[in-house]
Amino acid sequence: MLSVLKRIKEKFFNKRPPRISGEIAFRSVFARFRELLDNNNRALEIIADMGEKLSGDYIFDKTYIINSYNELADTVYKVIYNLNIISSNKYIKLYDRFENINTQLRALIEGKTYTLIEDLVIPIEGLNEAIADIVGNKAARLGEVRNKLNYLTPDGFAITITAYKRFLDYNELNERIEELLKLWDREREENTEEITTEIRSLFIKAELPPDLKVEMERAIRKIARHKNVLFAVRSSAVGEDSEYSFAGQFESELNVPKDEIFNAYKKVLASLFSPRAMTYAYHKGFSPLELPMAVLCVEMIAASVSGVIYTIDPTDASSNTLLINANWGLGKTVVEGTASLDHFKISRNPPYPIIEQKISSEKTMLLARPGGGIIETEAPASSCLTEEQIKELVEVVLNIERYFKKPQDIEWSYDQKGELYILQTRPLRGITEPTKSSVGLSVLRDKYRVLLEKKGVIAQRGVGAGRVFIAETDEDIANFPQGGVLVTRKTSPRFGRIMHKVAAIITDIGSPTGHMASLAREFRVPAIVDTGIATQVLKNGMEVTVDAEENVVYEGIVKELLDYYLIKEIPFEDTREYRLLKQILSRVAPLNLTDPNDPNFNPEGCHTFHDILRFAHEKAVAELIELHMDKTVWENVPAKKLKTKIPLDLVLIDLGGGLGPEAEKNTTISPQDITSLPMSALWKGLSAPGVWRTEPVSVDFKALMSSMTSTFQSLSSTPRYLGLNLAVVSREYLNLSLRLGYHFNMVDAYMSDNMVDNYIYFRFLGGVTEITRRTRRAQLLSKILETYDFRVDTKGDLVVARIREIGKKDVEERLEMIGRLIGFTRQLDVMLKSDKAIDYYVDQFLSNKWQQH
Amino acid sequence: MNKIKVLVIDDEPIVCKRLKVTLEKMGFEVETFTDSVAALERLKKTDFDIIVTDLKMEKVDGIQILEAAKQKNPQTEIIIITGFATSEAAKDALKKGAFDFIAKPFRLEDLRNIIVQATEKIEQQKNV
Repeated sequence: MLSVLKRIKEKFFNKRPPRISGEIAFRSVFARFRELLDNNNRALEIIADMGEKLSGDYIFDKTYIINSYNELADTVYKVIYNLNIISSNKYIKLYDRFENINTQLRALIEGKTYTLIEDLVIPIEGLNEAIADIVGNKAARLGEVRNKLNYLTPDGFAITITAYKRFLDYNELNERIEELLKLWDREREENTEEITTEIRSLFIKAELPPDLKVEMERAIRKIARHKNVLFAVRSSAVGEDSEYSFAGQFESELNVPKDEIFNAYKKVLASLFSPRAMTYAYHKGFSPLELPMAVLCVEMIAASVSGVIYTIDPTDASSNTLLINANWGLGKTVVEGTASLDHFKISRNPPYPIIEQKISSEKTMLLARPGGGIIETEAPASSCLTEEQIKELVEVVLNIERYFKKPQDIEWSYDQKGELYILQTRPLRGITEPTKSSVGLSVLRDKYRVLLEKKGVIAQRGVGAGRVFIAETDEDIANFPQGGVLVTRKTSPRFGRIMHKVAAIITDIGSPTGHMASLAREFRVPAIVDTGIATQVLKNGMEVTVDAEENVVYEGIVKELLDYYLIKEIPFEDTREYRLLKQILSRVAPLNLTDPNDPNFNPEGCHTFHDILRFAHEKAVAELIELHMDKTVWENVPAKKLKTKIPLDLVLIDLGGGLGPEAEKNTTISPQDITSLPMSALWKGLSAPGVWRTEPVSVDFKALMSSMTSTFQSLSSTPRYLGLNLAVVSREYLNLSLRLGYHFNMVDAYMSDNMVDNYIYFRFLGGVTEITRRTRRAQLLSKILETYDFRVDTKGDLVVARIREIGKKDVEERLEMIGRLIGFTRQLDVMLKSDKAIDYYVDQFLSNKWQQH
Repeated sequence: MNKIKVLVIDDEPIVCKRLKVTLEKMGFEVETFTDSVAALERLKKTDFDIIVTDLKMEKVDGIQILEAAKQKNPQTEIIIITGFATSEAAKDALKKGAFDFIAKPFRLEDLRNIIVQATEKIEQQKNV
């Protein structure tokens, strides 16, 4: 690569009389530009590679994450460095943006911080598992129940660990607590009570930071529309319920009037330093100060019936039953076990028959008084739950269990209107492992017949079992049984309605980017699509177990597998490595800057590495063009606008021998003036009849064209820019950067008599269109390029194709094809309405019928 | 027929955990170790058909595991997992009798294929 560059430079600079300043500047700028492009490409490849690892198909470890991140940070830094050399330090602010992201991510990788989010208060509508590290697991899970599974939960908000840290700092509590902890006799625990009382009183006396107070007040106002709303203020510690069993170590404050929430918040924080929690933390080997505490604040439901469900009997996990404890009125009596309760033991298999029930005849209940406070009163002696309610409850909680992939311990209430609310869900603790599963999974193939194996593609990982239900018609869908395995030829939008009933999905046709796959992912239903033969092999009513981790379907209910995933296995999504990689990617991969005309298209608007790369690439190309527009320095360097009927505002920079003698005299050139071998070849394809014309022109296509034209017009109103589509050419070299609509295309090629020097590098990155069509377009491109012997890497919507050491004629033929492909790709957005369309258009393109569409 | 016994050694717990499930589902009996010293003790006592081991580990590394395993039972097939930039060492392992090597991060599918090939070789040798 370097030698190519060197020769380009020699050719260009040796031809002309020396113009020292201009030459040196250009020599440097062009070399830096190439370096910037190389690093930009490498960085995008690393990002795509890291994203791919989240699929679960790979084995990777922390070393991979660290190495990948280090290389990525290094290449992004070099991009910024090169841009600043090209632009005489116009964009030094990018270093700040880089450092900002880099510092956060390094702290995350080194385990020095938990989160990248700065919010103090987040409403329940914004809670999800991706931010569990800042709102705690309890709040994150309740957010999933409400926002993804669409079950009713109380209104509320989370107070984040960022707020907790601000609270500690504001009151200088860290130092004062550390002093007190030094005095604590951990071994003999003689003064534990004394020390904890002292620490907790520090919390109670402390002041809330003013900004936190303001944010909490706003959040409270939104919920407490009427006077007498009461709140539950619950601990939601990070790590609680997961790696360490802190369940029940921290306090919850119930029936809190809104004026008391600040005090309740402080009390819950202080419970980090209860004797029980402190001793527990000490025995686990860390200081209570290291455990960050978020708090979940929700409205109290005026309950008519409340209770707790274990979705599996923890004392006998293989019995396949779930347990309900319930009572009339508020849940306090059930949670604290202070009153006589109703007990139910229910089968986990549909239709969920009641196996055992004990109805207490001596119940008392707690009711919320309309004006605030609680009254205790006598309760009816009858069962507090109807059979319909039990059935509803069981269906809901088994869905929640399937969604979180673990047995759950769930608190719930029915309100006065009979609406079911989920108050809290957490992984069930203390399950006695069934002995059956301890023999391991190696016996599966001896005991169970494999019905399907490695047929189709996994769309959502997981394991599910049930009876096969083949659904094709609307009527089938209406009759779909709870807990069934959905088998179908193809997807339909109507399946959305029954997703909450489905144990697993198998389809004959479909793709991992299709509609059914998105549904499966949204509801986390294990799914295998595109098996080809599922509806023939599987029969209605057949019991099957779908292993959508390994892509195997077994006949029968494979208890070993279900127990394994439900009880023993930590889901891949819950591993530290997965979470770390995902968090890193959240500050690396998203692209926010797509439109150079957006007022936010500046260094401050760069929130991710991808933004920085996008911004730097755009500005580097602009700088190169701008340099050429500066006549006082560059009067001898031809920067020419191409005059053509094609809607492609292209500027060419000649490094020597790329443009004919006519070009020297004019600022615009015509295609006949192009003497660059690779550019000529590409142009032949680009300008082939029909490439840029569509007859009849579809409305969509017109809109696409006009969006591009308007971009051009607003740019050209700045006289210094002729456009941002740039070709740097020499007799044998071409670097073409195109921004068409919202996708980016780069072609870098060398075409000479010397086969060893020849190469074509093709890069295509989709823009802001929906992922499905972007991925289809990438698939189409790679199929076509592979036909022409390119080595193609596709990662999501990024397509990189390379070919090297091929003859001059072969380069020519392929560049011409790429020219046509560029024109053709413009229309793909509109055309690729289904997966089937991919092969159709590949065929059209390869048989040269493309221009008719 | 006795099940094929596989030993997995990698100091990263996530690698052991995920390989155990995958290999068990292929019908093998699987033991895993994150501590290579303990693994070495174990393999001196028991014959394994296949050993999948990380190359770079503290105290006892993959090459030492390879040598000890071959000494105990020359029929044992060893598959080496390598990290970044250790392919020279991997080639060295091949010279010392490893069946194959695979670089981290890898697709589960690729490891499965290597294991299937190793299994075929073992079956063939049993028949001979």
